[in-house]
Amino acid sequence: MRPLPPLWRWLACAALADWLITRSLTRAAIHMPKPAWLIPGYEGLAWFGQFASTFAALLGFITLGWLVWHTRRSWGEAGLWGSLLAFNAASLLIAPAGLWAVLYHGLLLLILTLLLTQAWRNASGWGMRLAATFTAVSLATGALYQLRPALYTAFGWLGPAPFTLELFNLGEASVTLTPFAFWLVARPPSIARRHFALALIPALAFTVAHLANPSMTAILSVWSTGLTLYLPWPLYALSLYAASATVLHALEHDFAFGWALLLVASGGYAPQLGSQIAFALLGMWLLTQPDPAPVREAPMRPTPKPTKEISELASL
Amino acid sequence: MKHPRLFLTLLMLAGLLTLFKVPLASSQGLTLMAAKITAALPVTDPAAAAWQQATAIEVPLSAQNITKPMFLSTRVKAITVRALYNEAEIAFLVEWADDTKNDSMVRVQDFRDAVALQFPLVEGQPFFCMGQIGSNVNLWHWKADWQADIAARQDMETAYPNMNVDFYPFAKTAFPSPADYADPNYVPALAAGNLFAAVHTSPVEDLIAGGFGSITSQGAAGQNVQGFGAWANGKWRVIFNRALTSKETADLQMSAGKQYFMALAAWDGANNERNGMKSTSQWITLQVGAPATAGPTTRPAETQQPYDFTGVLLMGVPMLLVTLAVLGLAGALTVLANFGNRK
Repeated sequence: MRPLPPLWRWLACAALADWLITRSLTRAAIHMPKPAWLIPGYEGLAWFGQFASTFAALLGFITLGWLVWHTRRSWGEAGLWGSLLAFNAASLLIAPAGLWAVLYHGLLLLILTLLLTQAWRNASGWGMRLAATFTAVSLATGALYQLRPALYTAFGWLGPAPFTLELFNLGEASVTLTPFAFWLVARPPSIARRHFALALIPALAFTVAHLANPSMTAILSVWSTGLTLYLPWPLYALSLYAASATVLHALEHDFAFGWALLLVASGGYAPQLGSQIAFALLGMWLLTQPDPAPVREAPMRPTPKPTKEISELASL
Repeated sequence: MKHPRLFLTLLMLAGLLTLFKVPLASSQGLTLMAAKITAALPVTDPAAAAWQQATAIEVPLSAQNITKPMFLSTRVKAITVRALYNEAEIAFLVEWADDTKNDSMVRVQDFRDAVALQFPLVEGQPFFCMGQIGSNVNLWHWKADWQADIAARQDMETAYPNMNVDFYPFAKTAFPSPADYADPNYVPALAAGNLFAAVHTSPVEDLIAGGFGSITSQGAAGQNVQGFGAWANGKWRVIFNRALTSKETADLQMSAGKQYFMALAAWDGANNERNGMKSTSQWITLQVGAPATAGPTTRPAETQQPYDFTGVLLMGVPMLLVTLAVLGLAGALTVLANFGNRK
């Protein structure tokens, strides 16, 4: 497959900065005592987070445009991506309401259906198919969660929509299980020990935070990722561990699904901002590419000597 | 790095957009559509058939965790709300699950169930927790104990029916109790017009706030929000109603076809929730009937005006130019990226 432009790495890095700084660190910092000398630093951090969000959103628009061009030979696919680009651009003027909100979320579901179909067709093994399915289910439940109240409002039905909490919880369960599916794709025996060790950091940080103050951890989790932590907390810790190790392994070997995981994670669960939705869908698109797909034209480090594990991975 | 100039150009563009606060993302939050009816609003009957004409939405709540006093394990997780309006009034029906009915504040260890609606008095969305300096909010606070007081005034003897008082000056009965004191001369809070001591004609207190710690009750003459609440089978159902327009400048003025922002908060008395220890929501959009103009507004209701072209131009033209610039740049950079990748 032809290498992807560096735009994708820039987008993933900017989206990651938006997620970790704007939606996580600056919000968590609300609860930290701030002496007078620290406040300018906090304000600077908040401004940098806003800059990262703007940069990520700008790259999101550009990447969507690139995708419309890239898929131009397929009218249907290009039309769907073009519609998403148009909706996101138009929503800067007027937030979609009523029937337009229904159409917008319906469009998201159509795109997810298309992407899942492509993922199943292009994946060379059942591991990636399973991982793509979990990702699609996670994103689709988030879209449905937003679509249903819009549907009731648009058509004047009596509400509220039933089983809303159950749908939300189903999606959160799918989000939590998705990293395990990618873990299987990455084949744990091929993951370096240093990646396992580094992955312990976020998992342990979450564990300590949860044990110290579960309520505040849950609030920060909702702000940062959209997850409510309703499942047993060890599941989230293990999921975070699996995701971290998998991403580190994939990035070192420059596999597309590493960048895809970062983009999808940056979008969050049941995102409300158009830019976050774009990150998640673009990440999902990366998953539909034949795996492994390099994301730059030339490796920055010598290509690792193929090992038995990597060649087996290539044949997934 | 490949394409460093392109990268730097994009960084500079993002910096400019951040500096001028041009948003490149938007969201569609929850929208509550108030349905219009021609009859009188069912302001004392939560089970009235008229409420079925309004689409209900479920608003998630989370514990207030910005300022103390805070309590992170609040119990009310979601509220269902629907709205009706007619030519003169608007009414909201809010419902939430609560296993216990806490409608007494007589004992110091008891706390009431309550629910509140919050409306900004300025354009846009001020801080969702009680507004901020320069951006006041109008609050309608329904209290379960005020609701109970309307049926039968509660006092110490309600909680302690066998209480005995050694001596009450000027009491005429053999066994004096607070009920002996109907003369306001001996009930200074009532004489001073304290709303908490007054005979409640409405279970809703009308307040204004501009940030934490600034909440202020509107005067007795300004208490123009009515309400009704009933608890049954583990659920509270509370109705708020008020005229669409008000003479009070501290009140939100509403009119048909306009959009407003609204937030909700709830307290579970059995969980000792009170003051800032509550569950709150983010801002949701309230649409009073079919939209008549673009964008939300909290301006006072006026006589019918022509379409606000000026407002739309001032807001829309710059955004349109930015959008076109972004799309044009996206297209140009897409072409450049493809040229750069061709071998």
